[in-house]
Amino acid sequence: MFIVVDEDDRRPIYQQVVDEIKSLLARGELREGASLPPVRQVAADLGVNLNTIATAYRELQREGLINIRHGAGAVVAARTPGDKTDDELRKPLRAALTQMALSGLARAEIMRIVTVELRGLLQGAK
Amino acid sequence: MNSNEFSILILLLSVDAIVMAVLILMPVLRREHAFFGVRVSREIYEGEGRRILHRYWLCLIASFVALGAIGVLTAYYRRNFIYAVVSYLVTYPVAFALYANFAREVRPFRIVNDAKKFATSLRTRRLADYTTVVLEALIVVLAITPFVVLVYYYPAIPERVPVHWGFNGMPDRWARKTFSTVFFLPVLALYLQSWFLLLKYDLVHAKMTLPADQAEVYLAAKEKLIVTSTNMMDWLRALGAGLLGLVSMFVLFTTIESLRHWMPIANLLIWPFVGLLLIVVFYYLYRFMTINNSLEEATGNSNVQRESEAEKWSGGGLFYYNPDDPALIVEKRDGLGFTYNFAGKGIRLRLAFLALVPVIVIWALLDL
Repeated sequence: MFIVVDEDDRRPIYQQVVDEIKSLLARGELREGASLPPVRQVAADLGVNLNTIATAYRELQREGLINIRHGAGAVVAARTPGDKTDDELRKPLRAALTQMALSGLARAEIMRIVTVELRGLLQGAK
Repeated sequence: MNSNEFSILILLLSVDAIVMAVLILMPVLRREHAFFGVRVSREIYEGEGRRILHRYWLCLIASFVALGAIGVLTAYYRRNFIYAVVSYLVTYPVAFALYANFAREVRPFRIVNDAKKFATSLRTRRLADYTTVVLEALIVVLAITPFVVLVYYYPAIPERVPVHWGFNGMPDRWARKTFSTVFFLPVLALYLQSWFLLLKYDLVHAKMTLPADQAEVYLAAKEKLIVTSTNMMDWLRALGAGLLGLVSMFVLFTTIESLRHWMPIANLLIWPFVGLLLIVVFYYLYRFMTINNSLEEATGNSNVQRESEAEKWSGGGLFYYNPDDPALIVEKRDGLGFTYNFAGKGIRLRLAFLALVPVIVIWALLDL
């Protein structure tokens, strides 16, 4: 199980780390209770600042995806869909769909993209 | 020159020969992949590089011979052995300065690594995963037993104790019985055990830079390197504990009448230990080479690093000082083992630990 960061990517490194871990969570590769490596290990291996990884972990904790306990490290949290309201979850989807519609994509094309992305995301999910 | 000085001279010469062999081979051990600690193209390695290498070898051999000759001749004419010792001690910094200087000459030919995508494994590396409980228990027993036995027999030890033994197991130097003359070896053994355990802990947490497109191949090889290094450490720790534990008992086997029959056996047992230690070191060096070679065959490069990190190496890939790198221990540029990031967090503790060596030695010498 790997996470990858790309210096040429326009997203900041911490965001890339957050997104990589989120996609592992979404695909079910990282399950509830699985522990994430210490900040120092990830930072050293990727050759980035300690704070970058610490920020990424904090962001994941803020979103309720992991629990950070002092001494025990970061552990994948139980997933409780009830935490976020339906509307909260829909908001980013609506924004992304708006973006696609504005760029002139037809309804069928948008549907195709969404299906492909969803299939890719859930591949390997049990 | 007496026989004692002669044997010291022979020892110095053999250490010199080993250092010389290492310095001659070091720049070319991994050919163009780590030529003086940097990666160069094969054309450079076989052309301009070859010429630099030959000049380096010539300077190295010349300085060894010249400094050695000056030392021995001065010692002979001044009738003072210390000149020979000093000349040999001066040879090492001179040789390393030469190496570093030629490395600077090679540096401009270095292949710049333009990789931008790096991966990391989400598996946590823990010391416990590389630890065998039975072996640790054995090492603890081997390290503690000499203390217990020596304390038990301490009152029975005579006032004059042997502190050095010849090859035949006969004592050839004696000193007053004190805490340091009796307990020096077990204390040294305990120190070495803690030092090696700390090193093993650091090795398990060594930096693993994985290029994104070949992450799995790299991870497999790097994991193998860590297992190989920790296995080597385990062998060295166990053999070292056995060997030093055995030698710690010599003082009893020599001076206590009822234990005297152990001495010939103990003296004989030393050799398999020494032999095994040497075999272990060479076998694992060979393993490091083969793992790195197969990684190189599979990916074209066994040691990947960011460009910003490449600039923080000095002394021909021997020293690494990078305050921006959170890693404390990193793979050496020649791909044979690891070294510390001298700007890493926790480096002061390691250096303080290392500084205990002269303290222990002086402590032991005071009573000799």
